Formats: sequence, C-alpha cells, structure tokens
Amino acid sequence: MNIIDIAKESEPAKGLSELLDILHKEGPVSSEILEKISYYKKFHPDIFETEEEKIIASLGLFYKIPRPSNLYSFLLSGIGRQHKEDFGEYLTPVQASVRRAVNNNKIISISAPTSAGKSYSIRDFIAESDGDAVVIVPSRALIAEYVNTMRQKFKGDKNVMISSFVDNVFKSRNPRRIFILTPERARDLFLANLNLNVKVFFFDEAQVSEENERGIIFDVIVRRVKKYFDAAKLIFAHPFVENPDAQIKKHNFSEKDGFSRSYTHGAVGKVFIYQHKNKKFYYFSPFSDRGHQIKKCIEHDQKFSDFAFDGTHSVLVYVSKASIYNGKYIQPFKKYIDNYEEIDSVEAEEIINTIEHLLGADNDEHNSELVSLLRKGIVIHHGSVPLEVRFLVEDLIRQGHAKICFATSTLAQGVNMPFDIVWLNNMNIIGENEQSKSLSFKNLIGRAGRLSNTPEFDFGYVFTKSPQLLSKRVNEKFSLEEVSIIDTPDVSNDPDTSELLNSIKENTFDDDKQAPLSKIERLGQPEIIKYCKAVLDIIYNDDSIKDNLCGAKNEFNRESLKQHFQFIFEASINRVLHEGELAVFRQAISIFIQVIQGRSFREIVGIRYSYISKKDEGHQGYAAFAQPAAKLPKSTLTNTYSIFNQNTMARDVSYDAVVFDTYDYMDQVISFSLTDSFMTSFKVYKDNTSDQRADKMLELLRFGTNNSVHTFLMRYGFPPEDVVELSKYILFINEDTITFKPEISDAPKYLQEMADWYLPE
Amino acid sequence: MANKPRYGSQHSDTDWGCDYFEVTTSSTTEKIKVCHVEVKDIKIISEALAKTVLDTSWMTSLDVGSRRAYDRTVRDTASALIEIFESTTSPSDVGVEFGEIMVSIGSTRALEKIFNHVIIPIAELWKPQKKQNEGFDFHTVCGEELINFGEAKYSGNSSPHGNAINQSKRFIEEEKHLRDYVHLKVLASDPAIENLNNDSFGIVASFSINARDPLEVLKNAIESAEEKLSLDSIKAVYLVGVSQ
Repeated sequence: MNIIDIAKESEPAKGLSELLDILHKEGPVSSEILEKISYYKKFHPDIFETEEEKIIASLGLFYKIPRPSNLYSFLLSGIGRQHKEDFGEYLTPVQASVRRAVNNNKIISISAPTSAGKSYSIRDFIAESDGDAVVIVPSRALIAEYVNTMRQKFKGDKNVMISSFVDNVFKSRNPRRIFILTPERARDLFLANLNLNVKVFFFDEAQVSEENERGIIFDVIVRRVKKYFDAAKLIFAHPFVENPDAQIKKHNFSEKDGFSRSYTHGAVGKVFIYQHKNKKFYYFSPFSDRGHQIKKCIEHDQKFSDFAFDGTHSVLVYVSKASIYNGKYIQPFKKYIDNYEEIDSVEAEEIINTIEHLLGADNDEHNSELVSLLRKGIVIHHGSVPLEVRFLVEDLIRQGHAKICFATSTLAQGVNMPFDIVWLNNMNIIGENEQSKSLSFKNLIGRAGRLSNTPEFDFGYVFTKSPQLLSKRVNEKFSLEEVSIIDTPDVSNDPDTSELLNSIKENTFDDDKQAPLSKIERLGQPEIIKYCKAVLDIIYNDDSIKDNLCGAKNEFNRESLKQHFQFIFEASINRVLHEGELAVFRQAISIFIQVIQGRSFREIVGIRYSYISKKDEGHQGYAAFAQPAAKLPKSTLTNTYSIFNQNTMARDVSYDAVVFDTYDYMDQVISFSLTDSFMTSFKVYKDNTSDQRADKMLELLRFGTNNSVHTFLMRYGFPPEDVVELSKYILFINEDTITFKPEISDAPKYLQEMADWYLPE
Repeated sequence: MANKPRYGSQHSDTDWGCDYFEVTTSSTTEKIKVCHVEVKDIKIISEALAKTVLDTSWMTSLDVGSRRAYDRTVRDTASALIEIFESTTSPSDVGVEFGEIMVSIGSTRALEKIFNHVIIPIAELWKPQKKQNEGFDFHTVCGEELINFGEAKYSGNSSPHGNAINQSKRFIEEEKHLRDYVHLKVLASDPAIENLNNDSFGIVASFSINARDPLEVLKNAIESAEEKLSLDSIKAVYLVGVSQ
C-alpha cells in the first residue's frame, strides 16, 4: 500500500487490520511500517484512535500504557510487566533484548536506530554492575551528556565517582569509578600507577572505527583494552549498522564469547514532505520506487511551511555553518519568526539570562542575535557555540521552549534531542564517503518525531527540497569493515597526520609523552629546549603571570612568547607554518596569553569584539582583519583571509560571530591542536633539564591556571567556570580528600548542589 | 410456558478447563437447543488466551532470552488477568472483555462437543474488534449446514441472557449478520453459504450465569427466546449459559 492507497482507502479498518497483523507478528522492523502507521493516523484519525492503544502495545512501548484498557494490550503488556520485574523499568522489547545480551555475554556488538534507547539499557547495566567502568564516546559534547545522565542515574550515591578524564583523586573515599572519555583521552588508562579494576568498557558510536584518522586511535584502544583488561566485558554500540559483528572479527575476539545483532526496530513514525518545482508541497515516501513522482504523492493541504512554523511545533532547521556566520540562515523564516511572541516562562528567562551573561552579551554594546532570538524560542546549536551554552540551549529545548532550532550536524551526532519536524534547508552532509554521509543523514532525520509518554502513537515530519537525494540516503546501507584500519595499508596521505598514525600502528607511540618517538626526538633538540626555557623565563619571572604579560609594558614579552611557541610548534610538526596557519597560530597564542592571565571567556570575546569592531575609533570605517579559527596544522591553509569580508563596516561586525570564532579558537585551536604538542614539549624539556617549572607549565596548559586549589577542584570534576567561586569554600584539598568549610551551607544553591556529593555521608 | 429443563449428557474438556452439559428441555419450540458450560479452572482459559497472543507476537521470539522467559510470561500474565477479572472493587474494561471472550470460547467449544458444530475462528485479538463496528461475536456451522451467528454477553453479577437474546434479535432485524458475509464466504462451507443466501441460519445467544440455580436461568432464557427469536429465517437457536 502506498500513500495514496492509504489516504483514499474506503475501508480503512481493513487495511489497519492487516497492518496490526504484521505489527503483531513481525514488530516495527522498518521505517516503512512506521511510516504506514503514521499515514493511517494522519488520514483516518477516527478509526485509528480506536486501535491506537493496540498499536502502542504491539510496538512494545509499554511505559505509555501502564493501565491498558483492552484485553490484547493487557496480555501483551505482560511482557512489559516482566521487564519491570526483571530490570526495574518498562523496557521496550529491544531494550530488554540488549539488556539480556549485555548481561549474558562478554563481547557485545549491537546496532539499533538512534531513538531505540540502547544506550539507556547499557547505562542501566553499568549502574547495576560493580567494578570500575569506562564509556568511550567520540566527542566532548557526548562526554558531557553522558556525565550528566550518569550523575542523574547515581544521584546521591557517594560511592560512585563519574569523571571525564582519567585521574585518581579522592583516594580516601576510593569510590567506584566511571570514566567517560574520548578515544584520545582513553590512552591515559594505560598509565602504570592507576590501579583500576575496570570490568566493563562501553564503546558508544563505535562506527568511529571506520574513520581514517580516529579509527586508528579507536582501534588501538580496543586492542590495548583486549590485552590489558582481558577479563573485562566490552560493549560496542552503533546506529544503523548492518553488520555489528565486524567489531568482533576486526580484533579476533572469540566468537563464542561474542554476541552481535542489528536491531532495526523503531518506535516513532516519520512522514516525508517535499516542495515541488510547482511550489506545492507533497507527502512522499522514500521507500517506494520513484516515490517523489506526483502521481504517487498526496498534496499537503496547506503550505507546509505555514504548518511547520505556526509556532505550535518544534522544528529543527538544518543549515550550513557558513549561513549561520553570514546571517543568511534566518532569511527564509523571518516572516514567521517576526510573529512569534516572547517566551513567557520564569525558568526559561533564567536560562537565557545565564547564557547572556556567559557570552558577555549583557553588556550594552554587545548585541547578540543569538540571545535576542532565544527570547522568542529560536535557538542556534552548532559546534562553535560554547559547550556550556549549548547545554543550556539543550535544556531550553528539552523544556519545550524551542520553536525553531537552527542547527548544523553537531546536534545530530549522538545528542539525544528530538523535534516535531526536521526541516532540511540543505542536504550537504559531511562524511568521508557516501556510506558515512548516509549514516550521518539517518542520524539527522532520526531527530524527527518526539517519543512522548502519552498513550499516543508519535510521528514526526521531515521536509526536504531534494526528495530523490533523500530517498537515496535513506535507503543506503552502512557496513563496517571486517578488517581493522590498523591492519589496512596506506590509510593517510597527509604527512601531518601520518607520523602520528604510523607510530600508533607501529607501536612507537610514547604514552607518557603522548607523542610518536620521532617527534619526541625532534623536541629534544637543544634549540627547542632553549625556546621552552625562554617561555618559562617569561611566564614565571618572579611576578605573577598577569604582571608578566598584561599591558603595554609587556608587549615585547607577549610577542616573544608567540615566536617561541611558534618555533616549538614548527619543530613538533616538522615544517614551517604557512602564512594562513601562522595567522591562526598567532591569534591562538594571543588568546592563550589572556586565558592564563585569568580572563574569562566573556572578557576575551569582549576584547576581540572591541578590536575587530574598532570600538576605540567609535566603530568608524571597516572591520579590522581577523583570521578565523581552524584546526592546526592545516596544509591547505596557505593564505590569510578575514572572517568578515572587506566590505563589512566596523559597526556591522556580528558579536555572535566573534563569540563563535573565539570559542573555536579555545576549543579547536588551543585545546585540540596546540595543547598536546606543547605538553609533549615541556615533558621532553623536563626530562632534559630537570627544571621544576616545567610541571607548572604542564599544569597551566592542562588547566589554564597554576592555582593549586583551582586545579584540584577541576581534577575532582568541578566545571572550570565554577572553581573560582567554589574555592572560597574549600578548607583543604589534595589527591586524597576534599574538605569544605562549614560556610558551604550558606553558599548559593547551585554551589551547594555541586558540593553535596563531596561532603561526608 | 416451558418446564424447568434438566441436565443431560456431560463432556469434559481438559484443554480449556471446562465441563459442558447438554440441557434437555420441553420447549414447545423445537429449534431451541440449550447447554450449560461450567468453567472449572479459569486459569486454563486465561493461560490459553495469553498464549494465543504471546505465542504469535514478535516480542517473544526476539531472542533466546525472550523465548526462555515465555512460560513465565504466560503464567504471570494469566494470573494478572485473573486478578483483574475477579477484582470486584474495580470493574475494568479488560475484565469485561475477558468475560465475553470466556463466554464466546466456552459456548463455541460446548457447541462443538455437544452438537458437533464446526467453529469459525474468532477474530484475533489484535485486529480491530467488532465492538467498534457492531456485529456478532462469533460463528459456528452446524450439521445442518447452517451458519449460526453468536452473541456473547458477560456480567460479573447477573445473567444477561436478555441482553444476548435482544441484541441478536436487533442485529438480525438490522441485517448486521450480512456484514460478516465476506468474511464467512472464505471460512464457511459452500452449502452453509447457500443456506445463508436463502435466508436460513441459526442464532447462538450465550451469556454468563450468576445464579444458584443455573437451570432456572436457562428456563427464563428459553421463554425469552421462544418469544423473541421466532422469526422463520432463524432455523435454530442455541442458548448457552456459562458459569464459573
């Protein structure tokens, strides 16, 4: 049955009956079945309503119907009641199956659609197990999401410590440790003195194994886990992967200990809409051959954009990062947004004010479009929005205040955030090949349809302008390679990365210094040792760091630092920086110098904005030159160019663009690209000179401060932005223990909540 | 006026935990035939019913573990169903639906055992029920090749033979039995369909019995049927009382 058949069916009860029969016997095994159910709900709401509870039961969504009102649902819910008894929750059949697999096997590799709740099951398993646990996820955004959900799971349990890097503090309490790490950070697990008892490793979004660079880092971690933690249970989870058993084969795990399965069951329906060249909007099915042809479609009864943006739906609008920077993203939706009222909610107001403050937008001269749009329930979510702000934005979405969310692919990468409608303003998906693009795309459209707790069948909409490309992506399969990328020759032809990847493959990577041996050798050359010493001589020259770096009198010091760091970095990458790279590098060091003086993000953004928008000259003339952030090294970045084109007037400089770019500098350039290299350099320097200042420099690179209370607080897991406030309440802190002053009970509520876990029972 | 009927032959059915009794009557209307079902062990019916749903569901064959848990799921689900069915404090839709199914299953099995009827399978529970689309609850075909249209009525505290008989009468008058024609054409024998085409068929009115003396209830039912189901086209009337 296609859409037209369903929409025009004269006896819908009959078709629905057949559908119920399939659902009962086979389950919601494909998006196609869920699409059909959605169309029955859409076109035959009356008869659908009478059968809705049965449909929910046959999908296995038992938590939606705790008290079934018909015999069929009641009998089927017996399975849900059993899950509740066995696992404490009304798990869906797929969740329960995952749970059993994890309980009963040693190596587990599964695939399930994004919304199936597999991570939820595995999280519960970890919660109920003993011993230490490690969760490995591909991005820092996901780390933070896991940390939050794990903390909620263990709320009040003072014997479980959740950390986002490998460390061994709070020895006096000696809690069970759960580490949430990226593959890169996971290397620290193998350092000798940690004495961990890791019983389970959970590799979420394990398809990262297929990526050229990170795949190597990932697979090396898996092999080392296999070698050093041979008794531990390993769980791999993926979305939409055909052959999860490949993870077992890649690393020669015993097949008898292994379990693998690709679940295809869904829980939420999706219907697809496109706009034809004739300007009309049509329902179409990507599952039927040439489903976009008008003769196979049903026309939507109104302009779909009028429906989507009427203010009653939450819409994820997928846009390019470039359009966010140049402001064009908003144009097609402006007429709708202009009609939206401001959000009337105390809790939303509080969140928005916090965001405004964090971004420095509460200064009269700083006009943040991001903040003013938030007040209307329009949010912007992408990788250059500071992580802390992104979480607050996600809170707004979860609380139901977001009408439109303009997002790039960051949102789709594992962050669990559903919407009523996904509006694809473009179809450009980033991926190494067609397969991986298709996977990212499925993740993205997987956000359409919010699974509610109400006894209703939920479905969402996906809008596209390119129905054929959408159909192609939706129907493309993703298979994992059965041979690890480590065992595949010639993975990278980029000389900047091949040294690292080859050393990992050839086992010539030094864990302690986190670098290939060849790089360590280069950094040990006398000339580089000299530059390292020169850096330390400037930063730790008797006075405070600020006194050594701040103000006009220290301009020479700052310039020297930039040059010394440049030589060290060039030795590290074994070539000189191109002109464009150098512009990025110098801007990054300039920001780093401000960070180590103790400046906050909002202050640094303010300084940059004043400079670019020529505040001192009354915002007259054109915007100042500003090289946008980019990961380093980047061999294609040969020339300089400005983030704002040369016709941009100083007064028109977007405050938000400066916010995003500054965050990119902190995140992508300083943290991601530079810090590791400099840490390696100063470790090598220390080996060569025994200069104790090197330890302080390492601390400064890792934590951005040499205040020992502040660094300890960060090691104990407190967010960097709160350590200054918190440190006022610390009586004593070292690796063994943390003791708060009695005054903590008079501290602001958010600090008390943060400190509570660390207080004695 | 009919004399009080008496029990005749008895059949035991271990599959469904029921005993079936033929009831002899001295009704002046020959076409009325009566039987009484005694549900000895409701657990058996409840488990059998749970099995018809769980056995065929994708959820119980999802993996080895779900299969292994199957027996326990059936047992626990059946117990939960009995609990909700027997709860006098909170009468529920589920309990009533179960009661009607119990009456339907009990009566069709009794007709099969006592009068050699062929049972046309009851629509699977997951499919849209007739309730939303008024019509008869079940069908049998008797030795005389008549399709019998069955109406089941359940009550936890009365003996709703009046409802079953009145509703059957109304459905026939409103020609609701013909709605099932397409479905029956596939499942019933050709002669039975031929008879239906010629306006010859039977009625089964089945109902729960909540009374100390079931025979007294059946006697009243007979009297009511004599009066209300006397239409010529109704060639046979089966009255089935189901008690626990």
